[in-house]
Amino acid sequence: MTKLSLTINGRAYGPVEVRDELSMNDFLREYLGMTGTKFGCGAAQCLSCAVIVDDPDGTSCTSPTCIASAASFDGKTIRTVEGLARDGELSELQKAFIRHFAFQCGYCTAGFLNEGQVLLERLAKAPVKRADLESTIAEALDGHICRCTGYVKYHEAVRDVILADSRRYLVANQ
Amino acid sequence: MTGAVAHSFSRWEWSRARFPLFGEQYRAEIDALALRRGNGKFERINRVRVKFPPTDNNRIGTSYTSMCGTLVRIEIERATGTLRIAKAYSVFECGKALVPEVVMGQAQGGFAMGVGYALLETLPPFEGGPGNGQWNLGQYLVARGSDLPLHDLEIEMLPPLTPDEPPKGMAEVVMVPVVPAILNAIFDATGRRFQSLPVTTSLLKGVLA
Ligand code: FES
Ligand code: FES
Repeated sequence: MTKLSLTINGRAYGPVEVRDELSMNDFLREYLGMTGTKFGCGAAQCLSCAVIVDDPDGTSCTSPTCIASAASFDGKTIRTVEGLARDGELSELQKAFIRHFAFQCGYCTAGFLNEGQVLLERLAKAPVKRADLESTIAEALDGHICRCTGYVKYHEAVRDVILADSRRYLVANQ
Repeated sequence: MTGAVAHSFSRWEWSRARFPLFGEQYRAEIDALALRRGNGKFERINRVRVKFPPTDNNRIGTSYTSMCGTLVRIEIERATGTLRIAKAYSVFECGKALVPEVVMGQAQGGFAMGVGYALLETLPPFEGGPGNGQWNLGQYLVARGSDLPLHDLEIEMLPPLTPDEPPKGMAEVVMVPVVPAILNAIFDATGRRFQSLPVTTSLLKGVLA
């Protein structure tokens, strides 16, 4: 057993005793009832289970929860899809996914949202050139499998959000 | 016997008939049969009984044919056999699209699935195959975003053939022509006709070496 404390979507959880073999995915879905995070392959291949991990140095990345133990998240600060909307208002990315009809079954959507969110935040700090935007988005989203498959629409939706606020996300004047 | 031509009809169930043949009653899920002996002409075998599925079956649903065609431009790296789809175009007609955005999503998804079928998805039968229940996405390779021409995939949905044309199913047809389009492009590029799928990177490398 391990004592687990962590911050999820700005709220502190724990300390709570968890079995060492309990996966983070089960912890979120079964213990906390946060079923927005999905379970797909269970083998770190599809990233439908990915959450955002906010590191103390101010950077963020996504991380699969299916093969990671809950205990390994002790002390971490994470965000799940449930935390993306603010005060009942969907994030720009969530709105864009809906506008584009990007998802069909929706199983992969939480993973794509988290990945897109991390990308937006990264670009806000380190903008890229318009010419590099397509490949930047493609590379960022490439770990995620959408079997339905909405790759094109996800790509377009993320691009839409970036171009709608290009002063924030893109290097100016080129 | 050198040839046979049969006709059947389906309405969620096939028509059935009996034909006197070689002194017996031959039964089959067909409603017409003609046979040829040697170099002769086809001769109709007169059926003795025929049964068509009840028209009531129509309430299960009616299907209409949607058409789709695909063009692809590919690039194959000589040294590695890595294939990249540089540009693609699919065109289809599906009657009145009820939700055009979903129809487009299906068409883009179908394109991706066709790519997986043509290039990636090795699914051998029998014990070692996915039927053993042990396979996962690490072994069963499906298309990812990077396997597609994400921003050079043009899909055109033609207007309905007639103003009152009903909506037609299109979720599968959009996948089908992608496969021959890719195989034809590979033939163009390499001179090699592949007869089985998927055409993997290592197979392509073998052909180019
Ligand atoms: S469920 Fe975690 S990567 Fe697929
Ligand atoms: S929307 Fe169904 S898997 Fe992506």
